[in-house]
Amino acid sequence: MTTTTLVIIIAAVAVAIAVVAIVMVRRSKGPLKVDRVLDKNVDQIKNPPKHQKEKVSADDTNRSITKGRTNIFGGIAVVILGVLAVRAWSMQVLEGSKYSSEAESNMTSNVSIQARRGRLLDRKGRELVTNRASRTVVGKADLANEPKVVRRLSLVLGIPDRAIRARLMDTNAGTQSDRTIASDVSMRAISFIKENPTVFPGVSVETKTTRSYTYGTVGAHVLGYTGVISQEELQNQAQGSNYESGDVVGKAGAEAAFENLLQGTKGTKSYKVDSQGNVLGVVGEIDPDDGNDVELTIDLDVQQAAETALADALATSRRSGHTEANCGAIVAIDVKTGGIVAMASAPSFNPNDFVGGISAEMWDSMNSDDSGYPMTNRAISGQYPAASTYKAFTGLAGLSYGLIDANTSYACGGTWTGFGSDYPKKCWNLNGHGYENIYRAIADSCDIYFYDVAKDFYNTDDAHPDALQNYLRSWGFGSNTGIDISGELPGRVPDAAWKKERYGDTQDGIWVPGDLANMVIGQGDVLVSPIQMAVGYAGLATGKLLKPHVLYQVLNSNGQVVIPETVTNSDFAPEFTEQNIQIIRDALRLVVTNGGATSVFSGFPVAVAAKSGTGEAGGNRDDYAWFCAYAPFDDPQYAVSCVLERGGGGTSMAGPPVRKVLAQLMGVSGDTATSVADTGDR
Amino acid sequence: MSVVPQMERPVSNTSRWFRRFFGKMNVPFMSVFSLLVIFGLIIVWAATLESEEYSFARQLAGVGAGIVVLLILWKVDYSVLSQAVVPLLIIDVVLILSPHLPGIGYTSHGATSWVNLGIRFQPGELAKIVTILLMAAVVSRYQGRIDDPKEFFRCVIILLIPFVCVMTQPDLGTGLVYLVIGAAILFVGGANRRLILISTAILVGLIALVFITDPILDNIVGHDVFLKDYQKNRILVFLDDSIDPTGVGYNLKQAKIAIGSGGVLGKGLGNATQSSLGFLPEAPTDFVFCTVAEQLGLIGVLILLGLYGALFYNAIKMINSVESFFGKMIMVGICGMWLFQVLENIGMCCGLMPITGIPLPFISYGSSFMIINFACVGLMCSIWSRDRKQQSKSAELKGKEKLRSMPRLPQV
Repeated sequence: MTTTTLVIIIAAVAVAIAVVAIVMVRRSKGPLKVDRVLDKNVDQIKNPPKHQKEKVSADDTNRSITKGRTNIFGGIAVVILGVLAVRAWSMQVLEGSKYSSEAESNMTSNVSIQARRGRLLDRKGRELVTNRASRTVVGKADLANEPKVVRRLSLVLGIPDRAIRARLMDTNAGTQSDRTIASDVSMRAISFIKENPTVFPGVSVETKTTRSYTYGTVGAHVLGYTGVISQEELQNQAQGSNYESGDVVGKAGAEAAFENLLQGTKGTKSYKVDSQGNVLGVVGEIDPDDGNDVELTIDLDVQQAAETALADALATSRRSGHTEANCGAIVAIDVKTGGIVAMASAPSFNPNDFVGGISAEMWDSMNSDDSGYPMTNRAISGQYPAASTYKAFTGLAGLSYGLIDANTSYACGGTWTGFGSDYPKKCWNLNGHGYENIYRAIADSCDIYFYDVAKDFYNTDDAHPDALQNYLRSWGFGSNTGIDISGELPGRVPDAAWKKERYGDTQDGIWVPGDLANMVIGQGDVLVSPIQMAVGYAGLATGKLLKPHVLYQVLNSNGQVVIPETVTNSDFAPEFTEQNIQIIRDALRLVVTNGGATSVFSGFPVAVAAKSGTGEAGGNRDDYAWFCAYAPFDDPQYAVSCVLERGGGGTSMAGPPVRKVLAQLMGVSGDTATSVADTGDR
Repeated sequence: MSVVPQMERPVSNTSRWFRRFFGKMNVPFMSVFSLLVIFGLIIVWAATLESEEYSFARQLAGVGAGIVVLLILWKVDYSVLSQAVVPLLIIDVVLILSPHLPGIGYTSHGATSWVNLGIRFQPGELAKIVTILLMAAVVSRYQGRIDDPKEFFRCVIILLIPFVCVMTQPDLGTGLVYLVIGAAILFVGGANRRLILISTAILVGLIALVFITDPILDNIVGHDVFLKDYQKNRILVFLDDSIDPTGVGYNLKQAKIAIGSGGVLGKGLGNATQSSLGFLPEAPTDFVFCTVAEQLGLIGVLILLGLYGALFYNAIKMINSVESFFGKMIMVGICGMWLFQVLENIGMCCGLMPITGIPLPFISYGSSFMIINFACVGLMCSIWSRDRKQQSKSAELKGKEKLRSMPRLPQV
């Protein structure tokens, strides 16, 4: 009821009451006077004659009361009819259009026509994810309480009773919708169910368009998976989007990241319906607008090579006694564009398992501690100590601040007491490396040279607090790279403030020189992700830090490119001179030509710059094996990073898979000419 | 009804016969009444076009039966009933309680208000007329003034007897009709102003008390004491129609949509989407006003309300000019009943009143309801024509002097 109407009605009622009251008062005055005069009359009223004939006319006074009251009654009738008329006028004229549209929406039922979800392709246009029709058996949720029907379904479909009941009770696709009992059902079973509808009450057969991941587990973490939109997602959907309960949306990886491109726009079919929902005719139809195909920067061949190499490396590592080596990641990046050519994470999963709703059992098993969390994309969310691969950046930090130069050399005797004899620190090579400059220090991965660099930083700490941290942060460490798929974690560049916050006002919370010494060799509290290392080494190779991405280009339904690949600078712009960065590049090249990783690339036809790392996992557990590289050295095209959790030595374990990926990238033979000895180097 | 308007021309033999047989008739009143019935038939015809549940033929049959009942009651001399308070009270109570009799009683929609004697009907409807006669007989004894509280409350108690009886079914809607009939007769019958105000205050207080204590008592006793849940819900929905639009509020919401979507000119006869597509339940019966508003728009609503206005105008003119006080009271009771039914029915469709099952006089589908209202019209005809006869007779007898002393000239 609008306020106007309310006011009008209240006013009408008030006027009416006033009129009635006035009339009543005026009427009641008259008779009262007469009352006093005519005692006889009162008498007659109090003791009405028992058998008074009705034709005996009433006293004139009474007659006027009756007439007055009758007229008041008439007035009340007028007011009532008036109020009803005003109310009708307000509803039909003032609010008419509102009610008209409500009547309209009452008798129109809109049914959405799903748009075809766009495909995901690799950079060469090969289908990684597509759609296919699937014969699906669906059932009403309350079928779970019909053991006979479940039993029959079990016999026809060859699925255990318990599994069918579990699927019927699964609320994944929304509590209201029918439950999927089986997908990709054989034609025989389908026709049997269709021919015996009385035996299968509440069961129906539908042809559903489902997502199909052509290569199974390949690229699972990049591609992601789809699922039915959740209640939360429905409520939080952006303005202008038009999701409904039961819609399939991307839940992870590229499926989620490019949801807006892939989804398309739904069509609508409008029906005229009655109150029972019976369709009386089609009113209108709007065709759906299919989703765009998205080409990813992934190269299927490289991706497969990376995944194979990662699996092989983990197997080799386990064979070498590192029994916990089950997890790892490889990232290959195009250094000129920031496009991710391959991104592998182990263990992996099969996105096809999510099609039509993943079973609760499988979901639980994929989220148990034993599983190694296969859905975690370790390439972007894995958090590891960077170990010696960090030295390229800490070395560049020392050069950039002028603490060292190409000729600065420090003596390595295996043990270092730069922060006092109470705090001795050891090189990985307990025999010592002798006098080494920056080239040799990186090539041999000498720790003591970098301890001296740490001490240099410590000495300038008062003038330039957190100078090392600030420089590392300028390379994007401690922050997300901003890759266009979600799940990224920023890693950590520790400093005094962080340590205090972490450990509080305790002994552990005090920042000590040893923390700087640990950080400079990528140990201690340093954490990085494989994507950060790949982006960082790509930056070293080109001198330009880029933002990584997996979106190559977007095609419309005619196959035309509507969005081309874009190269975006990183949010970070590290400062260095061309001279200093060249020192680091040459040192990284020296690692391959005459240093720790020489054996890895022996016989490799392309000039590679690389650095290994062996991160201490703490306790007696196996180390994290790291290897980062870029190639070709003179005209860099690709950078690759690889980490193996508890995989052992960096060179021996993480080196070979990087070589294999580089071989695939450069189109050369990936065979390792000689086996790499586990030299225990870093 | 086409017979009635023809009576205006006293040329034909039939009409002369009719006049001799039935006496004088109030032509304006009967014309308005006929128009209302025709209007109602058109609406019900349109509303039942595509219905399997309702048949227009049955409605026509109801109107035919109504005409018969009207003519019979026109011929019956009602005046002896003014002395028959006790028999009327007994008949009233027996009628209202008859659905409780085993064998013929019948319960539907939670109310034991039907009897099945070959045909199924609600004796409570017939009891409305008996209640009107009863109250008119009671009040007419006072000849226009009730100042003694004792006498007033005696009337009220007599009125409460049929009300309490009908609440055993329970049927709050019909009970309210009884109360309104009694209130109208007591008011016009000259009940003291102060007594009216006091009893109104007591009534309001009692209603408030029932509403406040009902949930508490329900909790203590463990089941519904005064009001059933659906009755409470109806009242709550009327106060706030956003409560549960698919459950209790659904009817009200759909009714309002039907009315509002009619606009000024309406969707045209037979084009009512709300009722013909089944969104509006009970479209030809309780919610018939919605189909009027939906099909004919504000114009149709104003015509309908105008017809009711004309009906009440002519009825009040009749009340004022009739000599017999008992006759006046009967007419007041009838008008009070119609007015309340119009208010309650249209008000409930518009969301101004709680939802009850009270139909719209002369319009709603349903033959027993139609017959009762025709019977009321027959009663009014009988009162009018007898009174005319009486007045002209006394005028002849007592001569012109006496005639001059009469308060008002009779209308022709």
